[in-house]
Parts: sequence; structure tokens; C-alpha cells
Amino acid sequence: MGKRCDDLELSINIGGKSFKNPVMVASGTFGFAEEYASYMNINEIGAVITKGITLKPTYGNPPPRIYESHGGILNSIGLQNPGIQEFIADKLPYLRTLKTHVIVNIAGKSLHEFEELAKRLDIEGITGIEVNVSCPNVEDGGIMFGKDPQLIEKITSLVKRSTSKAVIIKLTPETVDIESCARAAANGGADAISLINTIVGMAIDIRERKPFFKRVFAGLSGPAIKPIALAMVHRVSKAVNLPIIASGGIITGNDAIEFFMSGAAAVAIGTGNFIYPDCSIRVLNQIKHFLKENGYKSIREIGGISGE
Amino acid sequence: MLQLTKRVIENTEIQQDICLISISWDKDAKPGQFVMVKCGDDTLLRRPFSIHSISDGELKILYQVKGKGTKFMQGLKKGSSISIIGPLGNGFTIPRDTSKALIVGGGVGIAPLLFLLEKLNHRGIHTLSLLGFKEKPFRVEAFEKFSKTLISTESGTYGEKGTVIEILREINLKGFDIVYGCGPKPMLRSLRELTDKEGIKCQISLEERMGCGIGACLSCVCMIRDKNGWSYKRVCKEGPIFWAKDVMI
Repeated sequence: MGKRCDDLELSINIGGKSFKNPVMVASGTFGFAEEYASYMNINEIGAVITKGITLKPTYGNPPPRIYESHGGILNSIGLQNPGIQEFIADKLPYLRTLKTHVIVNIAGKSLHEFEELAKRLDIEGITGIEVNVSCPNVEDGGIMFGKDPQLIEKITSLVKRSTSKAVIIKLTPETVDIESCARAAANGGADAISLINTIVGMAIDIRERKPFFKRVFAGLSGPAIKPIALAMVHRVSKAVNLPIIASGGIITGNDAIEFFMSGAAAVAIGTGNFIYPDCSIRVLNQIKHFLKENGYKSIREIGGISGE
Repeated sequence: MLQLTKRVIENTEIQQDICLISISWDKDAKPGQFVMVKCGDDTLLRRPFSIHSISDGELKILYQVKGKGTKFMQGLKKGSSISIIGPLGNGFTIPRDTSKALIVGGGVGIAPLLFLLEKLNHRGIHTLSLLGFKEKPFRVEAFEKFSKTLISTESGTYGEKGTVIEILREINLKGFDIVYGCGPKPMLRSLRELTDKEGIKCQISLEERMGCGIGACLSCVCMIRDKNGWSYKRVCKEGPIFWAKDVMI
């Protein structure tokens, strides 16, 4: 009997690679994984998506960088990272010791930078490249790329040509036509789509009569954005035939199940990692529990909803 | 596993909006380290608190009620359980040759200094404590157990009138090997200037809005001088204790 309980089929496929389960951790919320090593067994999750990497080291934005709103958090980190050279020299060796997939998030300021980043990451120990065309917290590139389907297609095909890795395009919800953006990624040859990145928001210090963040706008994440993320994932799942890695306020297994039903192939835990460092493991266990309770044998059985 | 569920042993408001909570605890920690506390379901992020003291299976946190998180903390009854991560951060450094240390605290910033003072006292290091408050001092008796303690209040109701920096200016800093400080930013700035001028070593505890508390999110950074000019260091990981001369605040 005990054995039968573990008979659940949790594996999924992205870009021809098999992932042992569909629970990942979202870029920017899990550092380079080592930070979480004493809180959980990282090897148990389906994949680690690293902090966004740029060509040159990036200092990031001046503090304050985080603000808690009702049900969500605003962040203005500004892609602080050591740059690709130090990433490969100092961070990748640890990531290579993990017995799970490593997906590296890249953020270029130009087409050329995306190409260069993808080429330099076409090395051992990396399964996929997540292309960040959706960061709201930087001056150059970021979200500006993600609003323009033509640019998305160009960047996707450029990255795809520059690497043998699975290519995942991370989209922003800050567009009127998410379907076109997703189709552009598909046309460019993307293996999967990640969505959503944070939503642009702001906070005001009313005593100082000033914006809370020096860059005025910041990125909203957490449970507050979950319904929006769910709608975006659902729309994109109807528009393209690509696996979707869903993120946006997933804290519990039930949150994740909603995303699977809305059309996601995998989920990425973001803000949840800050609240419970082992949030991804909790979500994974709760997903298993839900599947067993409801008589499902495979994660692939729960996609779709009735009544549409 | 550093994520722990602990019991509240005692939780008292020692003065309006200043509270002292005792939590069951069986781990060691370094003075200057902190813990992240999950403050109920109405807040998302854990809140960071300096360790005020650890003894007899209890960890004490001295906190000021400011927002939703600390309001929740204030309402915690004896026996209730709370989720804690810690101890986190680097802690104060006590150089080997230290024989006299000066402690400078402002407001609720005195919190990590008591734990440090206990340690200094244990190591036989001579100490003097300068504590500044807005109107009414708190926890002074706990400091007095370990060192001579001078008080200032901005209102002048207790001790010297003015900020703790006023008393600091009257002290001969040359008589100390090291100065430790924690408090509001203007206080820390003055502390850095004064210790710089006298060439006295000084460590300060910094505070910044925190996300994860374990070094992943890069929210709680501050500008620290280094060989390349400066860089952002994480208060939760490389800090919260920094050498004052390196801190650009």
C-alpha cells in the first residue's frame, strides 16, 4: 500500500528535458540556491531558476528596495548581480553539485547582450536559459522588450540560435495583448514560457510626501497578484502550444493546483520563499497530497477546467 | 533546520509601545545576530529582531510596536507558538586585545547591545554604556548590572538633556579600545565621525527593510566601502554589524 502512494507521476517535459516534478523556484527569490541549502533539500524540487544575470556586474538600485503592501510585496532590487564572469566562476560550481535542473535567468540591455549571455552559458551544468524581457526595475531593456512582440520574437530566435539549452521566455503582464507576446515567443522558437513577472506598482511615504522608492515604481508580487497571473496563464495556454511555467503569488499547494488547472505545466515559487524558506517543498508535498486525495495518478491529469 | 517553532514564555509592555518578549530557546548565538519572526497571517514577510539576550533557555526580544507585524507580536499570549528563523547575520567582533569598550545605544536600538554587554562582561572587559531615549528610559537596570550606565533623554526628564551624542562628546574616547553602537541613522553618523576623528575602532549595527533575511533577495543592502570604492552589502548576511568607517550612511 505504502508503495502505491508514491506511484504518483509528477514528471514533466520542457524543451526535450525531463523534470522530476513541476515545482521550481522563481528567479530573484532564490539567489544562487546556496542561500537555501540549510533550510531544505534543494534536490527535491524540479528546478532552480537563478537570479537574473547581466553581462557586466550590476550594482542595483539604492535602498529601500522592499515594501510590504496588503497581500503583496513591492521590490526595487534593480537586477543586482555579479555579472556573467563571476557567476560562472563563483556561483555555477555550487549549482553544478545540485541533483536538479538549473535554469539561468538572463537580462540583456540589447539584442547583442542577450546573444552574448546565451552563448557564454552554453556550458555544462545548465539545463535552460530563462530570458528576462520583463524586469520593471531597470532603465534599459527589461520590461520595454517584453511589451513589443516583434522584439520578443527577435530576442527569442537570437537566443535560441546561440544555445543548445532549453529557451524559456519570461513575459510581463504589463501588456494589453499577452497572447501576441506569447505567440511571438513561440514563433521565435521558445521551448517554454514563464509568466508572470511582477506588476508595476508604487507606494508613497505620506509624511515625506515622496515616493517610497527612489525609482518611484517597483514590482508587485505575492498573493495579491495571483488572480491576475492565473488569468494570464489561462489566456496564454489558449494562445500557444508551449509549456508554461507559472508564477504569481503561489504559497500553497492549492495555489499551484489552480495554476495547473488554468493551463500551466509547472509552477515557480517566488515571494513564498521569503516567508518560508522551504516553501517550494511544502507546495510540492501539498500538491502530492491533493493528487492522492482526489484520485489522480499523474500531474498531467489535472490540466484544464470545465464550464468554459 | 534553522526554521523553528517556539513558545512564548512571557510578553510584557514595559512602557508604552515598548515590549519585551521571552521565547523558549535552546541554541547559542553571537551578540549582534538577529532572528526573523513570522508575525501572523496578516503580514507576509517575517520581521527581523535583534537578539536582546539569551539565558536559561530563553531568548529575549526588545521591540517597539510600530506596524502590523509588531502589533501582532504585542498580542502574543504566554504559551502561544511562533515561527522563527535564526540566529542570522554576522554578530559583533570583539578584538583580542580589547580591555575597555564603550557602548552607545539610542532608543530601541539598545536591543542588541545588552547581549553584547553580557559577553564583554563575561570576558572581563571594562565597559561604559551610554543610552539615549526620547522621553522615558527603559531596560536601564539590565545594563546597570554589567556596566556603569549614563542616560540622556531628549526631553531632559531623565539624565542629561539631549541625544546620546551629547554625552558622547564629553567622554574621552581615547580611553577606549572600541566603541559599539546601535540606534537611529543620525546617531550612527555622528558616532562614525567622532570615532573616525579620534581613530578609535567602532562597530555599528545597521537596519534596513528586509525581505528573506537569509541573503537571497538582496533587499536589505547598504553602501559599504571596499577596494573598488564601494558596493552594496546585505545587512542580513554580511551584516548587520559593520565597521563604522566602512559604512556610507
